[in-house]
Amino acid sequence: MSNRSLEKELKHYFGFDTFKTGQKEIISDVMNGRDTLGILPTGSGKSVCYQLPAMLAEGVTVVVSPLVSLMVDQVKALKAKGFKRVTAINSFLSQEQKKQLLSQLSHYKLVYVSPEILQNPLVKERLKTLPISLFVVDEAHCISQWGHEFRTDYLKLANVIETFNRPTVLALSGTATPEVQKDIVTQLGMTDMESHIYAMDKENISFAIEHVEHPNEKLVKIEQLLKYQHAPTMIYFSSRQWAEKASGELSSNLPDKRVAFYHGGMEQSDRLLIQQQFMNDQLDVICCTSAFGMGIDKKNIRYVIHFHLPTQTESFIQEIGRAGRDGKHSISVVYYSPSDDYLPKKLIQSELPEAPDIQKTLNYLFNLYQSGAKLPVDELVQQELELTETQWRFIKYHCHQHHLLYQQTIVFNRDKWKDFHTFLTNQVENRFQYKMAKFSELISWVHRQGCRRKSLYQPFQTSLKTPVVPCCDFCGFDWKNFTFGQKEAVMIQQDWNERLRDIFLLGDKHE
Amino acid sequence: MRVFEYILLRCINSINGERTAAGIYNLLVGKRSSQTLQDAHAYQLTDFFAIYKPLERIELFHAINQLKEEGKIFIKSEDERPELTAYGNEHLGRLSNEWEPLYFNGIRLHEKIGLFEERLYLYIQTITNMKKGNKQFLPITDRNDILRWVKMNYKANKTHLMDHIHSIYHELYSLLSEVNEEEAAVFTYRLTGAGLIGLSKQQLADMFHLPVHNVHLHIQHFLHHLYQAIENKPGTYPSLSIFVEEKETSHLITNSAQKTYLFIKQGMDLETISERRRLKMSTIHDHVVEMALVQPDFPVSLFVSEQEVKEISQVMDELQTNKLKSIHDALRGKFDYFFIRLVQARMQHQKSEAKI
Ligand SMILES: Nc1ncnc2c1ncn2[C@@H]1O[C@H](COP(=O)(O)OP(=O)(O)OP(=O)(O)O)[C@@H](O)[C@H]1O
Ligand SMILES: [Mg+2]
Ligand SMILES: [Zn+2]
Repeated sequence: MSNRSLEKELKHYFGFDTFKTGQKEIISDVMNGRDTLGILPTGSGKSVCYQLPAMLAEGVTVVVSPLVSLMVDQVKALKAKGFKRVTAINSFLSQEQKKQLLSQLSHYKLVYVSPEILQNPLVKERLKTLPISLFVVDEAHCISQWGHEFRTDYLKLANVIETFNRPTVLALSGTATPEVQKDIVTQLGMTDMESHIYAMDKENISFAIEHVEHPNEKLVKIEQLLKYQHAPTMIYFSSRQWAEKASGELSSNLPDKRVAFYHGGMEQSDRLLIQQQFMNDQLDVICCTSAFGMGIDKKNIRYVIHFHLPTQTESFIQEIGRAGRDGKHSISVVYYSPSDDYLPKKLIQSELPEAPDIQKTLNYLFNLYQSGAKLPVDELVQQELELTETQWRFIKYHCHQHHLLYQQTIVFNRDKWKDFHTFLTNQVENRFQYKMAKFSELISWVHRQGCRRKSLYQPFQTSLKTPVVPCCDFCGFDWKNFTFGQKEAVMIQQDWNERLRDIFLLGDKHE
Repeated sequence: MRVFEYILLRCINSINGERTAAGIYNLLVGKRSSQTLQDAHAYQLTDFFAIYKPLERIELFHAINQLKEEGKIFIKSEDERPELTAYGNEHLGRLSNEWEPLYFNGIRLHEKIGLFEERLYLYIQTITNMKKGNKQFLPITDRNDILRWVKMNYKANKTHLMDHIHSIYHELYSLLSEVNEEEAAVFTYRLTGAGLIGLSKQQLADMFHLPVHNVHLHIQHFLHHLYQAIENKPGTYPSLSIFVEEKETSHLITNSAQKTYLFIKQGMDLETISERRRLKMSTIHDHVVEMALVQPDFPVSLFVSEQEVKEISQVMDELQTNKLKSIHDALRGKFDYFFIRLVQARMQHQKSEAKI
């Protein structure tokens, strides 16, 4: 296909006049059947890299995506744009819905799946019968042991690709060190992939870090910062309680700002409303946990503030990637207090099993083995052993690797099990040390003297683009006196009957 | 706390020191257990069944505690069962003047209201966006079944969209005018129109200076009111009547109970069923009671004779209680709890018939 027509197709399907950096190169390779690795900064338009080929190619495009909410958002966004032949298979569907969807699957051109659902025999068998022309791994850093999270089903994708008759593979990520990039290729069972690696730094984001003594000071600082700004703002917290508390205080202390919180503990309907209000500029400030963000594609976010830091640099880069998607000036601000180190450490610990958990699990498995029972479903095991999802996933993966488990069957061998116990204990320790080291890397960034931008991106790439905005507080950006300007945007309370008329677009304003 | 407070006091008043706060919790969140269903009937609290599904246990205990601190209830420490104080009773009277009539009908509507609510919201979002010529909007639900339903109904009304929107508006307006201002306001702000997204419960609470509990209950209450108004007078609310389906039989019975019922209908006795299904006898008993509760015409006589029913119900009447243990003791242990519960179930149907 000639390049001229690719541009036409882009315009036709998405309404964009030109490709963004890297898109065209990646799309051309994919359309020519080459396995491709694409590393592009957050918010740079990775989705188009597979969505356009999906529209143009003959067969079906399967996209592996790590988060259900992310999938659902993307399907919704595509449908709103008029692509009807897109769907998502995920674990939130009821058995009935899943069956129905599977029976109509050939109707779709673009199918989003989670790595876990790909292990479901029913889903796998059904997909096998479809002419899959492109297999996409989005957020491909998840495949790496050294990536963000231990998603063991990502490690089985190589096998899935084979069973699907070896379609063209496209792996995409916004945050991958050279080490992780290599790992992605290996784990996918590829020997050779066309690599399109672009620098990850965002030239329209300024950086600032401020150290405070106590977490409570941060709220005062944030108030001062936002008071005279007209700027959509996200504030990240690592706990739900903090997000709620901060939202309450900021609302009362910044009466002309519309503030709300968002976290995974809210009712689904409320979450959707808050998310849409923010998209729709009905909110100025959103206090959120990492549950918010992945699927958010709001163009004009000006501030991403970290009240708490995530547990590693990769996540941090993802989170600031929500800012300035319109290419205009945006600012990342980190408030750090010494006591902040505590929460992430807890978080990392809670993701890994503890020594007594390992013993308990082995006892449990042994009892099952003796009574001739098979391994029950994950939820039950987790409940029985009081393990979190990530903890059990970790143990189960290694049990499979060491042949203590064959599918749902328990295989017993005294010596082997003994060795395994030692192995797993070590493995937990290694993983903990590794994760803590990742966290320290981010913390040391906060403490380092020198340009914030340079040291942030250093582990990922050798050179930096020249920022088109003030670089960072260290390079002289007077961020505390900077303002995006002011505009009054108060939530006025109307009579309910006026509001009802507005909702139904009735009255003088509308008719 | 107001509405929430009113409902709690009503519950505490009705159960009359015979159930713990956990029982009230199970009722409000709509726990599907024979015990909860039975209680709902026995204490005539079926209206409140499942009207507060997202309630957190701890929140309820906070509220109960607050009532205690305000001297409206007392809790006997030995069995943790709340009862009204004289002051609480007086207060309940005041609240009742303020809030009655309430239109909740949880037992009948609890499975329909959620669907009704989501369809209504999405439908309004859809038609107003279409009116504005805005074909690309993000629906405020993720549920495909709802999306499909809305799309279908939108298509059916698309040819006369302007009139349709007008009449939906007018029908809603007139129903909102019937409830108190606060409820009308909360509900209106919950709605999403073109470019105007509805508020979350927390935001509504902030805007109207209400506890989140009341926001939830206001919304629920209006939905119950709306649903029944449309159901009763489809002619008055022709446009809104698309949201209401014909009455159908209860889905309340759990699958497991249904299986048990199937065996009973085949003439199997309870012991055999218990063996066959590898379930404890007590579970089978639960199933039977559950069905007796849900189905007015359940053949109780398969298990207890008319004479026995008489004997047990007499004691229940005399004691004016639903406390199993008291009844059991008063009958000097002559009847198994199972029989007492069955008779209770049967009497509840008679009671609610009497009420109508
Ligand atoms: N060629 C283009 N021209 C203009 N805008 C584009 C183009 N391609 C994509 N966009 C827009 O860029 C935004 C970001 O796209 P997308 O969500 O695909 O980014 P991403 O790289 O996947 O980001 P993330 O790191 O969040 O996953 C979207 O709003 C998209 O519509
Ligand atoms: Mg993306
Ligand atoms: Zn700098």
